[in-house]
Amino acid sequence: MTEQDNPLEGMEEVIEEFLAESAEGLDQMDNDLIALEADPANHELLASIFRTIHSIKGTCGFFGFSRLESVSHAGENLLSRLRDRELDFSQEIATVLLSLGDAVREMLTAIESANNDGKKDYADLVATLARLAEGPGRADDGAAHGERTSPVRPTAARSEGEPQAAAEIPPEPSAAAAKSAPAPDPTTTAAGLSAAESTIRVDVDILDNLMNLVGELVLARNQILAHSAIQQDPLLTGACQRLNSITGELQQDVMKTRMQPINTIWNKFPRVVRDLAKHCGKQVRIEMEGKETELDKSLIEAIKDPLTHLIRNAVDHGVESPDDRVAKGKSAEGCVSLTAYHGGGQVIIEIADDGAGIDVDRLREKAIALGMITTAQATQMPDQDICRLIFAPGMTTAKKVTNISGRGVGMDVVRTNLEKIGGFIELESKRDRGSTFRIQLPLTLAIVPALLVRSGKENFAIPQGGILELIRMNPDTPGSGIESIHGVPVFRLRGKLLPLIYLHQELNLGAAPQGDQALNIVVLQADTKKFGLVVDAIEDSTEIVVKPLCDLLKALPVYAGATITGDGKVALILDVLGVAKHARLLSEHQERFSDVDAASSLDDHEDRCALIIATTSDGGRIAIPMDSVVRLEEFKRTSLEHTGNRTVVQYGREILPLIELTDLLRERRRKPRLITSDKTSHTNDAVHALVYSVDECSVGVVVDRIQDIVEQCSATQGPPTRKGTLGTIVVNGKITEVFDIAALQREVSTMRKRPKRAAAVGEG
Amino acid sequence: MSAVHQVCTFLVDGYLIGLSTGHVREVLRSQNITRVPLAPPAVSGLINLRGEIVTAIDLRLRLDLEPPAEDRPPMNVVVHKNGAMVSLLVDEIGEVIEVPEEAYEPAPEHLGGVWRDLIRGAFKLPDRLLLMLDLARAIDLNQATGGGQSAHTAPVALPHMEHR
Repeated sequence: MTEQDNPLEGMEEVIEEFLAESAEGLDQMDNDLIALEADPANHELLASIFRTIHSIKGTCGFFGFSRLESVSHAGENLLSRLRDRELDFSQEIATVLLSLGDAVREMLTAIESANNDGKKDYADLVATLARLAEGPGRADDGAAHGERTSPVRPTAARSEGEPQAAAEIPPEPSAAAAKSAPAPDPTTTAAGLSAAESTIRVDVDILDNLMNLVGELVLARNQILAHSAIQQDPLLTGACQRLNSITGELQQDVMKTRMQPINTIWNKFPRVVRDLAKHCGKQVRIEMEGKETELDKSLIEAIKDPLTHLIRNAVDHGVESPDDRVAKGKSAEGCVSLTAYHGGGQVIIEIADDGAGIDVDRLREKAIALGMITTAQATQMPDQDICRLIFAPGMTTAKKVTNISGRGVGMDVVRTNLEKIGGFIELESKRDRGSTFRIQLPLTLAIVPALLVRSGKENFAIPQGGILELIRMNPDTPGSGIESIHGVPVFRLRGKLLPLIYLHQELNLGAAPQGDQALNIVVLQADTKKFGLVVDAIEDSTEIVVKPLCDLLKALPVYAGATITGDGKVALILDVLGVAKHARLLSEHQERFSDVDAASSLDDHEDRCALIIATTSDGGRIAIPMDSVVRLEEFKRTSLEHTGNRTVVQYGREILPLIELTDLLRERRRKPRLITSDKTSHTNDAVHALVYSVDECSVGVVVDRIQDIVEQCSATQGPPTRKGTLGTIVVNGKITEVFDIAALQREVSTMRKRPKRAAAVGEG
Repeated sequence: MSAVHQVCTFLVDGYLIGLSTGHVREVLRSQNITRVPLAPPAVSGLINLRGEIVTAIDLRLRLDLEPPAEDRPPMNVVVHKNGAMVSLLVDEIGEVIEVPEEAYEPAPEHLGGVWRDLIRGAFKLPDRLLLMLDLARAIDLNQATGGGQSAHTAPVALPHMEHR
């Protein structure tokens, strides 16, 4: 077959398809090869690799890419002999087949850009493939090509490509069939057909556009809902509810079309780990769990580089050399494990190695040497906080640190890149046990839940991700006022000083609000820093569609974009980090970590946590650990609905089942039920619920009254008093029971076992 | 050879200013504007144009003229340039007129300040001058008053339109 230079007119689409399929096949092949190295007897894997190369060869012959055809043909010969068990799989074969994959990739790239399979000559590769196809003994027999009949064969394959080689090898039905019939292998056909029938390829631009349109629809819906709330027309309300639920479902489904399994980037990693481990002379295996975890395409692209960086780091610096590992009593082979799962409306990715861990002492010394922390601070800081210093910008520039600790190169960049997309990274490291990086990401970037606040006449949106809590303070409440340190306002939040930023001052919005008004503080987390943003009013919590600002305004760091609110007006979205930086709360790294050590020195390393103090129906007090509560909600009693023997409430797009705390504690009732189907009693007041997420399903625990939120050690001081409690502690001088979350989990699982479904409507 | 240009005209503080109709996407009455705190002064704010967020630039402020009167809501000239949509706030919208190529002359050399950057030249209408705005520069706020002048030092005098 001679080289065809004429462009393949009219075939662009077919070629595009071929390129996309081949690229996927090659990625799969890389992984199969690496798996095969571990399990050389696995026939399935070999068959899969064979199919990939075989179908590439068949198709490119049809298009007339002769170079590609001859290379893939040589590979196919080798693979068919392996498949027929005439040869044994070896490390060497794996390496050569991997480089075959690389060569094919190169040629595919050339086809994509220039419509021909490039000018590069792969004669060496073809020769190696042919030599290996010859069978074992070649290398062992040394230079002697002679004894096995053919110094001719490699050269023949080199100069003339496939005809010769094909003649040599016993006739393979599939290879021959490739020329005549497009569907040679029954397994290929079955798999190929079903995929082709149930899926179609769609241009990403179309999906992006669809997403934008849905965004518009969400905005229009918000406007109509806002309008219908004023109108009080039952007909309109009904139609609006339908519109609401359809829009919600549509949004979910369109978002699903943009979802990709994380495996699309993970499947590159076995190769990265294998090659890097070889290069460093280490033995590293990679384990992956949750490959099918899906997240938005734009996020997949954004996390590719940070993840690659973390994995390279884990192999390069985390895992020790085999000798060191054995000396430490570990197996010679190290392990890098990747885990991904959905939790709490977020995607969580963990990258763990079982290597040396971070040398905290050296890191501490370096941090002191770099002036990030003082010696006094360093001794007080727990190891966990010291480890966090590797994300600090100063750390990355210091060569010595990176050489010693091994970590830190570009960690700052990893962190900032993840934060840019609303993500969050933390690190856990144990000496000689390894390190685990934990990344939390939002599911999507385009539509986010946000809080609308007002300052002056302007509305602003704050993404919920950065919000810790809301505080509304009555000016009359004694002893809870705002104090100031040299003109800088601070607020005592559960005994700790919270720096305050006044939004109207930060944005030069003019006059301060009147002094007699209640004060609204939005407690925000920016990086490691907590601060309170004082706004005039808290308006609403809603889903917003993030729209980028035009280039003219990109230079303003305090905004993350803009959105259109229910009334059709434009509202700016505040960038929490940007606001903190603008207020100079986050200027230098010294300041950034001052928060950390202040907290740790006060804590005496106690296990402190925030506790919600609620009253029980028998007049007692119960403390509920706040870290497991997703949100605190207040529902109008009229909005509660009853299905069967269960009380539920519409909650966003979900149906939230409600359970009374009293029921969980099996209390004797001294008061009427809080949630009752009797609509006549207390129809006007509100029901307080703590929203939990149990097994990815929301559940509301209804409490009588929330008294306070305190921060203190939750280790129990007394034995459990009854079912559903862990024990008792003293809070503010009063004995308080501690709620046992396991009781809730038990209740939910029994709820699930009953036939009725209380799950989310649009399961996300 | 009399090429004819279609120009969309508008009034800013008494000046008749024009843009090639190709750049103008639409013309709107006064819109609800959301202020953008900390933005450059010429940025009046953001408007919602059927779901798209458009940045509004006040041409009076951009051209160093008197700020607009409170009681006269500005008109919007929505333009499209380099993929971005911007609304120029003007006093009044004029007609779309056709002007012959020959009537054009580049701006005089000694035109000062920001005008030198933003006004490319003028069409000599029978009764008055129609000043042609350099759209790319008008909506590029990074090219502030003084900064842009170094860009064309000698009398290069905007040959853009002369050779058309």
